[in-house]
Amino acid sequence: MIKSENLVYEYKRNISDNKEDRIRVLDGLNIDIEDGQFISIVGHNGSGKSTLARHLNALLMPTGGTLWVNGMDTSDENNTLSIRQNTGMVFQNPDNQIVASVVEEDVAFALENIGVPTDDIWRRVEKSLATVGMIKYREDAPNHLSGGQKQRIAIAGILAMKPRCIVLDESTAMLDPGGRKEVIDAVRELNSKEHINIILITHYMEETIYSDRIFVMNRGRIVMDGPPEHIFSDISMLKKYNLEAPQAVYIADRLRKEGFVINKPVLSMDDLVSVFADYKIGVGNVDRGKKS
Amino acid sequence: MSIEVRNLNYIYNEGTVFEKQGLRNINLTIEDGEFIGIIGHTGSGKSTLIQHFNGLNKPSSGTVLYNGDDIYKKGFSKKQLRSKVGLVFQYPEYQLFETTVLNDVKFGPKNIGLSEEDIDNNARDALEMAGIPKEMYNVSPLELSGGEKRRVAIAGVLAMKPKFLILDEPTAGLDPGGKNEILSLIDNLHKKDGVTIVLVSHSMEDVAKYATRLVVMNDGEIFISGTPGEVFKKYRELEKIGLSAPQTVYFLKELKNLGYDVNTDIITPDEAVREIVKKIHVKRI
Amino acid sequence: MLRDITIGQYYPTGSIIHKLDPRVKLAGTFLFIISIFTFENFLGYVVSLIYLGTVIFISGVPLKYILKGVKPIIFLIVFTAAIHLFFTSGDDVLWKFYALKITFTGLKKAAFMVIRLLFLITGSSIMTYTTTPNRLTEGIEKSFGPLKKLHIPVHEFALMMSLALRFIPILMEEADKIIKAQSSRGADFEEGNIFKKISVVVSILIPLLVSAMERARDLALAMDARCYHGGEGRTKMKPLRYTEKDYISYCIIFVYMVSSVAIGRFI
Repeated sequence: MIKSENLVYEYKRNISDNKEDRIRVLDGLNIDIEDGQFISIVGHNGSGKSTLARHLNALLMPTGGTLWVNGMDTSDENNTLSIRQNTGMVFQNPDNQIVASVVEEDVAFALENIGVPTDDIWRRVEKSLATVGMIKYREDAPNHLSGGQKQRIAIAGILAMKPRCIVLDESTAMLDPGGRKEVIDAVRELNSKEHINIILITHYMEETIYSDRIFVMNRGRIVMDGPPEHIFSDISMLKKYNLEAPQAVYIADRLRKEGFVINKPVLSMDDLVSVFADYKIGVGNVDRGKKS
Repeated sequence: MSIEVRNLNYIYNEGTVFEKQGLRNINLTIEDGEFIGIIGHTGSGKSTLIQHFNGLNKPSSGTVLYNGDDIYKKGFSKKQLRSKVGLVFQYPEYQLFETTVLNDVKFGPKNIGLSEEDIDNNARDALEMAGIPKEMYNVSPLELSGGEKRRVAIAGVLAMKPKFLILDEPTAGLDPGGKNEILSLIDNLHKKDGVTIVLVSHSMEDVAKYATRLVVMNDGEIFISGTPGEVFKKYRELEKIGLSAPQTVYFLKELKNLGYDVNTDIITPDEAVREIVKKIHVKRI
Repeated sequence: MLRDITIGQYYPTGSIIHKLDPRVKLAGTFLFIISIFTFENFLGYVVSLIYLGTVIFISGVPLKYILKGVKPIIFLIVFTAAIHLFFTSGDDVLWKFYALKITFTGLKKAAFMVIRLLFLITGSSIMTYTTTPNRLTEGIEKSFGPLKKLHIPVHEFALMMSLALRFIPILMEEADKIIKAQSSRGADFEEGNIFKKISVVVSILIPLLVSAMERARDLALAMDARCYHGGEGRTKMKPLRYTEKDYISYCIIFVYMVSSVAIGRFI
């Protein structure tokens, strides 16, 4: 469970020798995320997404307001290690987060840090590598793996800590479409089978359509919050925040403007196809002839 | 003007134990005014291929002709070639090194030996084309946002006034706003300035929207090539090598299966909407 | 072009030498090097050669690979040999030309130097060929562990070394890419005056530095996020544990030391 009250993060920037400027990156956030949810956070660059992510596992501390992760106040340094075990983080660049030169040793890194006994390390490393489908690469050098595989290793490294939440901070941004799918499939499965809370920060709107909730961030605030069908019902709002809708949503929106009756929520091409299937069996279907 | 690739083979680490065939028997001609999209999954040889277009890689056999001249022949000026065939690398912002944006963009024109005046004019033109506001010309490139850095890096290549512009995944890692800025910059260069474009991309949607011809790479070979319509019609073959057609193609195919009489050659969402409005007659409000 | 540099190349064959505890190999290499600098006659080197040859043979690493390590320092060997050859004073002059003279003592010293350097290189390369950089780092960390009591950050040094080893190939690839990118902008590595050349080198070094710093920052964050907080209370997935073959190896090393030094110094 993650909850914040009026969360603020500011930093100072020197404009000239004795003048300072205060930059407010997070501007009074109030969030409340229940366990086991799949949350997506979208927003253009500089909207504060990554700064929020870094607060969730105490890499950054709030300069105002409070954030609780699993009931622990993140600004209390005594909680830092427990919070980081509870909430793991996958970063953007797959190369820059791998510590060891052998896959299984990298997965073990966090466990070594928190002092897990050797026998337990082996068991937990094995289990997490199997969960992300990377067990057969356990003795390989990470340099030879694809981007998607490297990110799955990073996920396994977190999984080994038995976390309740995994934050993906633009972890699909540097991957090709195949790699992106690998990562999204892996975290969707963790969410549905192991009930691990997933917080996915991404620029690819297609990845967010499976979430329970989407947060849209702009200038350090959450400006939209709701299930995908709610967020994608208003494309003009998304445009205002410099974002795009998934293609199916875009087509549905254009068709609505042309007067087509589309009463059910459309998120994917499958949804769109089913709208036209409904027309065939007569739902909302009366031949309109050639007028309008 | 043209770039012509003839029977090109490229072997990595030739003559060592790590020897590996990178490209196999590539034949390809890029004509003036084209917008070519190169697609293929990671490791299919796309990046290796485009690094032959301006002579950065040396083929193991075969050759590349620029306007009919062999670029690997002795005495052929690679420097002049590189000013005509501009190559923008993946994540090009990592090549910025000068103290100011303007100076960085001047690096290319300086290297090819232009006059002081031309260097300045070219650099300013390029920055304007890339949509970098004047007040940024004298700040350090390190202070810019990710999307701005990317555009400055592209301006650094444009400042050499290339006739051909090759871009290796220029929108990777950008947010939707930054991505659209880059794509419309490329589209403008093609339409307004008549620059021939070669775009390496993972996004089928992007190449469907802009390219006049597609080259699909797989395992170091050209797998299919043709107009986007022709290539995406063969979506089943694309799926075999781990690629796919744009979502619109699948959507229209499904509509056809439902019994709607729609044209399945359509590949972009806007065309799809027009087609549906024209062909599917249901009650509208 | 930069990928030709090989640091700590590992050559897997699965031999018993590969499977030894890295501490044994570190100690063995260290003592071997000490031994070759104590000999005063050629017999000692014969003992060393037999010992070294046997180890190489058991390791299964082709001799060709081991000799490859010598190539970069051939100049150094020739240079050192020449200095000893021409500038050793002594009465037993064999050949003289103005200030240059070759003495029998000089000849002997030069030959000793060449043999020492060759043995030094092959001896230490057999260690790196049979031990992964990570195991080596672990060995160093564990061997120097007692220094922690003197507040010397042994764990941190070892971690720094293993991280450097992991990022070397990544940074090499990056350097290759930046060189190509700047070449695409007309940078020329051969022509031009000194100022142009400096500007070209700067155009590669600065981006490389910026990117290395960025990677270091990312890595530090990623390590923090995975609960890294120094060596205190850390456990190991693969702790070093001596087995029978390691103890036997220590005995063999001891026997070698005693016999070779006895022969090399006192016969």
